[in-house]
Amino acid sequence: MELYEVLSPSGREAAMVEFIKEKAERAGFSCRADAFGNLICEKGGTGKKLTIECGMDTVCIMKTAETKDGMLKIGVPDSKMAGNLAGSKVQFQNKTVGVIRCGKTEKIEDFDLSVDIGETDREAAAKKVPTGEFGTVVCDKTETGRFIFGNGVSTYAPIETVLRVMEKCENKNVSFVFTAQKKFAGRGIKALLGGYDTDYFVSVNSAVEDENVKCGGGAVVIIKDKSTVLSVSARKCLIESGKKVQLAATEENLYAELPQICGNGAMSGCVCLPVRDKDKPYEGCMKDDIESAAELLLNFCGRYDKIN
Amino acid sequence: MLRMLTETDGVSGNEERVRELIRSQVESYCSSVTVDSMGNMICRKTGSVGKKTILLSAHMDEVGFIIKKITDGGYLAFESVGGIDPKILLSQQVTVNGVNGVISFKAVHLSAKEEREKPFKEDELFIDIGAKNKAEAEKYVTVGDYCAFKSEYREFGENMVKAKALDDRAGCAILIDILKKETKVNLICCFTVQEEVGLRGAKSAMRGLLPDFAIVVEGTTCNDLTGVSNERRVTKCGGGAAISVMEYSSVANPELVNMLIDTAKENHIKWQYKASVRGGNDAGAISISGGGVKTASVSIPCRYIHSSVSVMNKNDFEAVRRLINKFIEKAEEM
Repeated sequence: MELYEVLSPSGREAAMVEFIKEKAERAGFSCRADAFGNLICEKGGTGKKLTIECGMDTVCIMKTAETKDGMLKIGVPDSKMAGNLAGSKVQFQNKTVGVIRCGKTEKIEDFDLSVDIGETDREAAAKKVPTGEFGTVVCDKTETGRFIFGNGVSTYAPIETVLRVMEKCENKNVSFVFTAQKKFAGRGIKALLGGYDTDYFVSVNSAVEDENVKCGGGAVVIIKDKSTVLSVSARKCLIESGKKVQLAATEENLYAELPQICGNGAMSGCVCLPVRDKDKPYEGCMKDDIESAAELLLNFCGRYDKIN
Repeated sequence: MLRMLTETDGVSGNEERVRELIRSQVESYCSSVTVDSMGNMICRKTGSVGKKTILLSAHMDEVGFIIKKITDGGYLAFESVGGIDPKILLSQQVTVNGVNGVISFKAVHLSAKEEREKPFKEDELFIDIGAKNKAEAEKYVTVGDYCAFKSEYREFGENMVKAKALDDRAGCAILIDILKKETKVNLICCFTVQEEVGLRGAKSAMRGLLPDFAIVVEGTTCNDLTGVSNERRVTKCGGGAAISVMEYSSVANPELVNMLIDTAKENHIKWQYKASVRGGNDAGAISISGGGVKTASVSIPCRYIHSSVSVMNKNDFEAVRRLINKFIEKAEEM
C-alpha cells in the first residue's frame, strides 16, 4: 500500500502507525506508541536531543444517523472544516465508500452535510454503516506535472517529507514523532509533552499558498503562528540549512511552540510545505517543495546542536 | 443522595458546599481524600487485588450566574457562568447567598410588540431580590457573589426526575455509590471543578495521577423531543447509558468503547451511542494529561440540560450506575 492510500482519521490512526512503523524499523529506529496513540521513533542517542514532529491524521467524520432516503448524517469535530468537505469522497472504517453532499453554499455546519452511500432507505443505510463508525476523506492521489493533488495532501506530504529524512538521517540523537489527532486541536502534541523531554523541536506542517507563500518557492520556515513566536535561533539555523527557503507568519495554529513552555523548555521551530487549496477536496503540493524541505531538515539534523 | 446533590448550590468556581457534602459521604470509605488548590477533590481507594488503577471522574460544578453590579434600585446585574441560553432565563427563580430572587422581565401588558418580537440580551435582565434600594441589597449580596438556579428535585411521570444540575451531580452520585463498595482495582475518583467554564479543574487535577485508564461519568443532552428529526437527536431519554465515540473535546479510546459496549451487552444493560460530536467534557483534559491517558465517557441522557428543569429517566441513571460497576469488576482481568 502507498502512503497516500492509508486512511488515518483523527483518533483512528492505527493503520498509519503500522505503515510508518514498518518504514522506521527498516531504517533502524525503535518505535513505540504512547497511551495517546503518538508514534515515537528513536535510535537511542545520548546527546542533545532533536525531535522532528509531524501529524499523521486527516479530518475525521463520524456517522451519527441516517435519513429516510438512505443518506448518512455525520458529525465533524471541527465545525470550521465542515464547509470544505462538500464534494469529498469518503471511506468509513468498514470500507463503505460515499460522497459528501451539501445543499447549502455558505455557513455550512456538519448538520448540513449528508453522505451518499448509494442506498435509498433508512434501514439499508443503517445496516451498511452503524452509528459511531469513523471515516475520513479518500485522497485519490493524482500526479500531474510537478504537483501531487489529492484530498488530505496537507497531511500526507509532510509525512512523506519526514519519512525521507528518517531514511537518511544518521544522527542517533534525532527522534521522530508522529502525532495523533493533530487536526483535532493538536491534541497529540499536548498529550505527548506531558511525558516527553527534548532539547530542540521542529514541527513539520503545511502552509496555505497565498501572497507570501508560493508553491515551488521551497520549504517555508515559520516565524510566527497564530499563538506565538518561535525561536529566533532555531529559525536562523533552519534557514541556513536550506537551499530554497521562504519565510512566513501564519494565522494557523501549528502547535509548534508548545514545547517551549513544557518540561524544561525546548527551542522550537516550524517548517511547512506550501499547499495550494489547503483543506479543500483537492489540495496540491509540489514535489520539489517536498524535496527542498527534506533536504533542509536533513541538514538541520547535522547542525542543530551548534545553536546557541 | 441525588436530591441532596442537586439541591446544593455549586456554580463553577464556587463548588465548596457540594464538595463538602460529597466528602462527608465518602471519606470513611477511602484510603485518602485530598483537595488541590483549584478545589478538585481526589478520593483514592485501594483495591483488594490492586494490579490496575482506574480513574473515574465527575464534575461538581453547575452552570449559574455571577453578580457584576448592584443598581441604585436594588436590582442585581449578572453574567452567566457556563453555557446558558438566554431564552431560558426569563422569569427564572434563583438564589444568591441563601436569598431568593427572580430574574425580572417586563410584563407582557407593558411591552410593545416590537420588544416582544426582538431577541433580548442577557444584560437587559436583572435579578430582583425584593430590595428597595442598593443599600438594602448590599446587606445580603456583594458584587462577585455567585447565584444558582432555584429548583427542587421532583419525581414525576414514569421514572422521570426533574432537577437543576443533573449535569453532573448525577455523575457525582454514581461515583459516591462506587466508592462505598469494595473493589478489586485501585480507584481514583476525581470530583472536578470548573468543567462548565473550560474543563479547568481537570487540567490541574490530573497532575501526578497516572491511571491505567479513565472513565468520565457525565450528563449529556438528548434533543429527542417531538418534532426533532431523527438525524438531529443526540441521545434518547430512556434509551440507556450513552457511550461517546467522539466529541468536540476528545475522541474516546476505541478499546475502552468496545469494552464498555461488551460489558453492557453481557449484563443486559440498556445502552446507546451518543450520536453527535457536539459538546465536550473533562475527557478532553484527562486524555491529554501526563503523556496521554486512555479515556472514554459514559453519560446519563438529560433533557433541557443547562437549565433549572433538566430531566432524566431514573432507568438511564441506573443503567450508567450498573455499567460502571460491572466495568470495574471486569477491569482487573484486563
